[in-house]
Amino acid sequence: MPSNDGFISITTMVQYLFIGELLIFSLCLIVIQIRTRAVYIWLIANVVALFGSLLTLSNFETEQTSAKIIGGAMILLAASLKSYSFSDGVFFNKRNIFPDTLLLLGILFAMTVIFTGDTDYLLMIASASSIFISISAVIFLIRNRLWLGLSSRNYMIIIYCFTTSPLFYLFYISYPIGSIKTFVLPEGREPVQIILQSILVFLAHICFLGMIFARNVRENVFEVRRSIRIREASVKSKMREQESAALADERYHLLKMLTHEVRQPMNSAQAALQALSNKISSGSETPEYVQSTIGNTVSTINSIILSISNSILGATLITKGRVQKLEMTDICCVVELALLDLDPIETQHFEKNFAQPVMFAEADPIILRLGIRNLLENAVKYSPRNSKKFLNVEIDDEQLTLVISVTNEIEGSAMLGPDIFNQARRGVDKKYDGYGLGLYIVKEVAKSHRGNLVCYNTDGKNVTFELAIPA
Amino acid sequence: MTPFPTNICIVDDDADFAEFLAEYLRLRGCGCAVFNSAEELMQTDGIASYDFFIIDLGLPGIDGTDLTALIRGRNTGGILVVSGRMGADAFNSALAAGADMFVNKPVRFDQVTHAVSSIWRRFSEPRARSTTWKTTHSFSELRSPMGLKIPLTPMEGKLIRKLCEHGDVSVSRADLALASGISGSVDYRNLDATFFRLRRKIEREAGCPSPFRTVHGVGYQLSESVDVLPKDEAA
Repeated sequence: MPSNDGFISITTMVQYLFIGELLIFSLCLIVIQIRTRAVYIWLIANVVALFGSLLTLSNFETEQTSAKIIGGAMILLAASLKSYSFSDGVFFNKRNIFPDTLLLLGILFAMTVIFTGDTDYLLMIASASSIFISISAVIFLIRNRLWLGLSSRNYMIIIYCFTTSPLFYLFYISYPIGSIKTFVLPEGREPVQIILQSILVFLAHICFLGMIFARNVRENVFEVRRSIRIREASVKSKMREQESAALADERYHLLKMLTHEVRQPMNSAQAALQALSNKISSGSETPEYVQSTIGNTVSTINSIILSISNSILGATLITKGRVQKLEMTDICCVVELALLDLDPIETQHFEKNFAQPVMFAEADPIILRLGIRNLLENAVKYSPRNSKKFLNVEIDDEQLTLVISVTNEIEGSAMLGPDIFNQARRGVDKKYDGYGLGLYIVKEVAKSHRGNLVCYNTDGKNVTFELAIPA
Repeated sequence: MTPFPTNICIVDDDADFAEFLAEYLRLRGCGCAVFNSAEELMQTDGIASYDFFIIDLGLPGIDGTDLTALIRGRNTGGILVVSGRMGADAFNSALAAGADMFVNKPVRFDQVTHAVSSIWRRFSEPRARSTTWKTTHSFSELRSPMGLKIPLTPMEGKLIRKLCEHGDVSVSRADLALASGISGSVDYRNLDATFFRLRRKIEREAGCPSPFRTVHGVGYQLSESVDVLPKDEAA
């Protein structure tokens, strides 16, 4: 359609507008700076479409049929590139053999248009190529997980469906199936075709930009989540590192405590036995002396056993955490056993009072016995010699617990500081040996049994420790 | 005099401890046989003849836990595990194998006799092991495996009935409160208090733990099966 009087035709004008549109959207794709493979392919496709359009434009002015056909074929190739861009990353997936084949057929048909030139089959081949390309694009859009859930993808699919339906009509009317022989639309309808094409390309570009943005936002969210996870993992690993360092420190501390608490009594027991051995070999021993020495040695060994048991339990609690599985246990029996752990002489000074002869609660008898024993040993250690002590097992109807209480006289309330239940705290002066693991163990025993440990010193003379266990 | 078994079997690889303990127990007037390994005991083929066993866990060859399970399969007598192993694993595995009590070493002989008496009080009658808890058809009375009777209040009866209906499946506090008509405040304190008092009553009357247990955060469930007697056996 040549320009005869210096004015350009409407067809040429709309073609220029189409070229401008391609250029603007290509610039947009460059400016948004989202560097993905789909964007690069889309840009290449736009360049190819641009050249195709320019070739077609030259045809309007010069009537060169071959340029017009090559231009059309290039636009088909551009469309196939855009379809390929939707297959980003899944083109070689075995699941996509069908859309892959459709796309390759579309490209093959587009190439055929170039090589066969202006034939009676031109419209048929070109419309078939377009149909194949469009269908493959729709399938890629549906199957590719990259676009999954994006609303712009759905709009893009609608646009492709809208584009494909007239192509079927073109295929139907094309020669030799129908009656129209050439690729060119009847004169006067070219501007309409180009305007339609421009509108569809415009919408397709908008949708593509939407898809790219939405995908980018989603990937950023994933990236943020990934980095949060990595940061959390790194924080956790640091915490674990610190915890294991603290554990090692605690174990070392316990070992030190054990060494300190055991060394001295071991030495005393050894000395007592040596003295006894000397007396026996010299024949100067008396039955009273033998009995008293053996009694003292047994008592020393008892205190060593308590220290070792406390340290083992302390180390177990530190390493493995609290006991999880408890069994129905007769609390009275465990209390009796703990009382029998004491020196027989000391046992006599305890007045027992059990609310019932048998009382069961979910407990671990081993650690409960050790906990009660610690309470009893404390009562012995911090009360005046031979003073009366009380060991009760009561039923607390209010709190629904069994309460094991140990009461003894004390020499002053100053020894009961607020931190007496903490590890390595001793409420009294240096006259008492040891580091004070005992009450810490009792507190942990109470916690393991979902119970609690409290201490009363109401009248300033007596102190009561109450270990309560839910029953 | 405190009830005490008459024929005790001690299995401990610490020969000195076992022999001293046997001597101590013989002074109480009961027969005592000592074995230093499970194999030694099994060679005698007399497991069924003892009425009480004191077993160490850390035995050479067949482990104490396996031996406990083996004995429990052939004998309903009392089993006391005395072991130097500490920790919940040892204790739980021994009880799971069928032991009646676990006492950790070091242990004095008077403590052993105390533990033996304590078990013996509960299981002196072998039939206690082979029978189960029972309740009358109207749920007005509970009977321990030893045949001791525990009268139930109507409310306690309703609770036991509800637990029996669910067998070994836990029943929520809400369901129990609804079934018994106990006012169900948010924390079901009244319900918990009723179970607490029932437990103490069972212990007082029967001298053994109750046949139900607390499922923390859920409710309660039977820990032992309770048979409901037919209507004509209720009296």
